[in-house]
Amino acid sequence: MMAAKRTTNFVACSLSALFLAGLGVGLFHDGDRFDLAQRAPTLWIALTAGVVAVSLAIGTVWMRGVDELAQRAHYVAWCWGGSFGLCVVMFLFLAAPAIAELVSFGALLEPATRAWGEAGPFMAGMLTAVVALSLGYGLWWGAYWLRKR
Amino acid sequence: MRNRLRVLRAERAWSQADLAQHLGVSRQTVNAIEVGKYDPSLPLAFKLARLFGQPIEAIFFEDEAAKAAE
Repeated sequence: MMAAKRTTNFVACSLSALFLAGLGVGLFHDGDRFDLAQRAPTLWIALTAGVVAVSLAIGTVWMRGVDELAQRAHYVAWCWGGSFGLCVVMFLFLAAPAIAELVSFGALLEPATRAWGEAGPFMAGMLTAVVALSLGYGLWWGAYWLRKR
Repeated sequence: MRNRLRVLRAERAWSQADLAQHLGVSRQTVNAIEVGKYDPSLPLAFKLARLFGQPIEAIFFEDEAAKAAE
């Protein structure tokens, strides 16, 4: 029970720290551009790496704290749902040259370029991969949990 | 896999939540094991065996063994 409480406290504190970090970054946010990324790119990259490392640590502690059925649900969801999401991403990657003949990527990615600058199209691609993986994972996790609980 | 968890639990008048607390897992996990939707890990199976004072094979058995016994 003490371990569970420690885990909850750690996760709550870490999430609060991430929230405050986000709030801090938000203060440097200028209009629809990541101003700090342009003013101090090295600091921005270091900050981002730090946020990812903290998120990974939170995930690790949290995962060790949940019981084995919950862990199993996440393993299965990452394996099957994540793989499914990855297949969608690979399909989009391989089919992109043909899709470009049917759809104008320039127009499609224009909002991303407008919002995020030169890095916009690359960020949109990364975001597509993250969304596909997360969707596959989330759907698989939900189905597994509803079936097993 | 099938198991006698429901019977063993009933003998002690424990709810699923009681058993979950003894094992340090969630009630959902106990329910999933009981209804045969989830096979527990070996450490959890040993924990169950120790808790009920019975060998693992007296608690868990294969579907085919259950059919043969019937």
